[in-house]
Amino acid sequence: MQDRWRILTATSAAASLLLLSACGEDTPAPATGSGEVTGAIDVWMGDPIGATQQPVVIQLAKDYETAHPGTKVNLRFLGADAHKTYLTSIAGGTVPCVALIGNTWSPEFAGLQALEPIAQDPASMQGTYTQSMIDSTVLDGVSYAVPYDTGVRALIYRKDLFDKAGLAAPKTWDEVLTSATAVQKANEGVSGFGIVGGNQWYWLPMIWNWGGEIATNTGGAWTAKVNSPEAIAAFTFYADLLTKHKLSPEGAVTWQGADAAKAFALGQVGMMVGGSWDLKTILAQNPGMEAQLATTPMPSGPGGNNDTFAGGSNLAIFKGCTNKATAKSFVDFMMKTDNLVPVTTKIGLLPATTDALEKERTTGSFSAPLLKAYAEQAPNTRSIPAVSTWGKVEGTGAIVNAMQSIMNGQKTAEAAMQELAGQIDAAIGQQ
Amino acid sequence: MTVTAPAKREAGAPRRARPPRRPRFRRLAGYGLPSLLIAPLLAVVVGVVGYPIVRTVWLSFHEGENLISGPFNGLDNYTALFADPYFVSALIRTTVFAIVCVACTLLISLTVALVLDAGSWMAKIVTVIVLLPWAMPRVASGIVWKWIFNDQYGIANWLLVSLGFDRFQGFAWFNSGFTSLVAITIAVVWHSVPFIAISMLAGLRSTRGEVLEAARVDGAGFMQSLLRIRLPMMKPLLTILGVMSTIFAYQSFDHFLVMTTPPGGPSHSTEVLSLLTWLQAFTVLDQGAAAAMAVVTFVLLAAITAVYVRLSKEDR
Repeated sequence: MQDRWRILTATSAAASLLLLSACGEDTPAPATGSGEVTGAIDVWMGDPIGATQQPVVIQLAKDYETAHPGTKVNLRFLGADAHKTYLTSIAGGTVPCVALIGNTWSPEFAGLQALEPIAQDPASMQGTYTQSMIDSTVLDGVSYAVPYDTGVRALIYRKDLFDKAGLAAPKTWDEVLTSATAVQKANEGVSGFGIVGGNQWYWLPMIWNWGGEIATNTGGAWTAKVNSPEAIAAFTFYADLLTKHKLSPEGAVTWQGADAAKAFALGQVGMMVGGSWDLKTILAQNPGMEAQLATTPMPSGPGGNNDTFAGGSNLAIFKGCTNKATAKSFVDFMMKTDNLVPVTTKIGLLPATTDALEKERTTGSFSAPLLKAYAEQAPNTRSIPAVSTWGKVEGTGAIVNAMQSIMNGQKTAEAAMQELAGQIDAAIGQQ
Repeated sequence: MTVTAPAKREAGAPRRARPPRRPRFRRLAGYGLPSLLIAPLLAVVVGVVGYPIVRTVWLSFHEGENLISGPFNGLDNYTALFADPYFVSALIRTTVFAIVCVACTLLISLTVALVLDAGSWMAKIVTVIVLLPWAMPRVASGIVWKWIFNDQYGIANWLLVSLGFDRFQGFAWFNSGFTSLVAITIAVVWHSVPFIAISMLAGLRSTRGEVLEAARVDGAGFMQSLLRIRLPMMKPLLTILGVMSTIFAYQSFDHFLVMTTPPGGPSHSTEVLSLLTWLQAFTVLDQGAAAAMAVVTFVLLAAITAVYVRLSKEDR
């Protein structure tokens, strides 16, 4: 054992030299720990790394160990309750070294003092990663994670039905309304627009499209802006698609993305907002539909933008990690375009680095006609308010409840948004 | 007490004849050894049941933002709870839901048990089939029931429309609190009936025999012997089953989580205590408030159990 240990330290000296040269380029983080790349690290990954992506990640971990003798990557794949697993591990002090975490969790975990800073000045990351994804890693001016993959939404529509009606791909939300109405009228049994009342990410970004904000930060204090006229108008527009224009079955009040995708695959929906994963679901359920489909970037609203939410994951290093040098070098290894793209392609999401994104858009998996719209949409994305307590807003379903109470006619849009603003302020305003 | 008394007398008799070590050992055997043997179990019970309860009560009197135990804050967590209109309506909703659930569960279980009790060899096969829902994980049954009540493809709407209720064409069960609760109640009752029914069957079996025979000779009909003889004889069992199904109903969580979007929605209309406690603990990350909710539920259930026990003792 002792001999082996000596070999490990000897080889790690060489490895750490490699690391130092690698660190110099794009990582302004201060060196921590002994600085030697050796020994074992725990790496946890949850959603979106599922059964199909795991072999790729396992192979990458092996490649890393081969490239860095003396290191050992202990991979652990988490189930659907990854968020809770991380929280309990933070509370219990048994954190991994490296973890792939949901981008909306990054400020939350950073707020719990669990994450190691990646960049003291997030501006230094500009240009290297998709901007909205950088924003998702920041808390109080410091970046705590490295953007890994990006999930964006775009418009998926039935090209055959649009062609038949002589319609072009909608560019604004008003055009979405008129073309959806026309498609619904011309085709018996087809709903014009797949409404997803049960999932805020399909419509919350409309507040941005209308020129509003979810919340703003002045001097470190967050204030909800969902009671602004722009936000109220955006929510009213979406609720009206269901209640006034009846462009979806009434059950769409509680629909999730998968419900709309299923209805779409059955040929019952003419158009929907959907992520590349929704597109995948549709084609998996109805492969024959590929020729009838088309995608186009999100429509823009009165505010003059078509920004949508950037979902995705970030790679983070935990503060409790005792082998930060290896953790850091592993993250760098995973972020190399050649190592990143195979994973994101397998997930079906975009890579979060600009280089890899460009590669995917021009020659990679997102250069396919149906997927191009997603790569084009990626720069027009925003992040949720970068505040550690945002999870409270999301987790309690406050935003979905507000939309549903408007759709069900239980509250006026003004009253619902006023209440929501109060709830958001209570959750994130204490900062 | 009655157990130790004869032991003492026994030990006292041969006192003169035997050396004094023996009685001491006996005394040890009378108190020490049993305590020693019980100790591991007691430790487990205290550790697994006692500690969490005490800890939860302790947490409920402290701040607990971000799952970090903060300073003592008196009754703040409780006053905040009862000032929250959504909590108060969830409390009322849970209670009404539990009453309906328990009533339906007990009635249906009794009917099933009577059918099984009256049945022949077929009953044995039917008994196994009846037990099946109980063996199903609750999350899985929640998902299946959600499909059954799906507005577009659900079998419930298809059945109702086939029966002539045309308004159920595309009826969205989960759009309003009331209809969501109807669907969830059906799912929860479906899941809790098997266990209660089988227990009742065992109870009914024990009331066969001479008493029933005598009643029948005296001319008591089926209903008469059921209401006057069999059910009163089963009262202790019925009390326990009542307590258990009440606890089941208050604990219902999986079905609410799986069947409603967002959990407790639409717009807060299906929020129940268990769900709110979970949301408070794991998404709001306020363990103080969550512990206070848990304590409220605990006290409520303890009170209900006390009432049940009281009722069952009254006639004895």
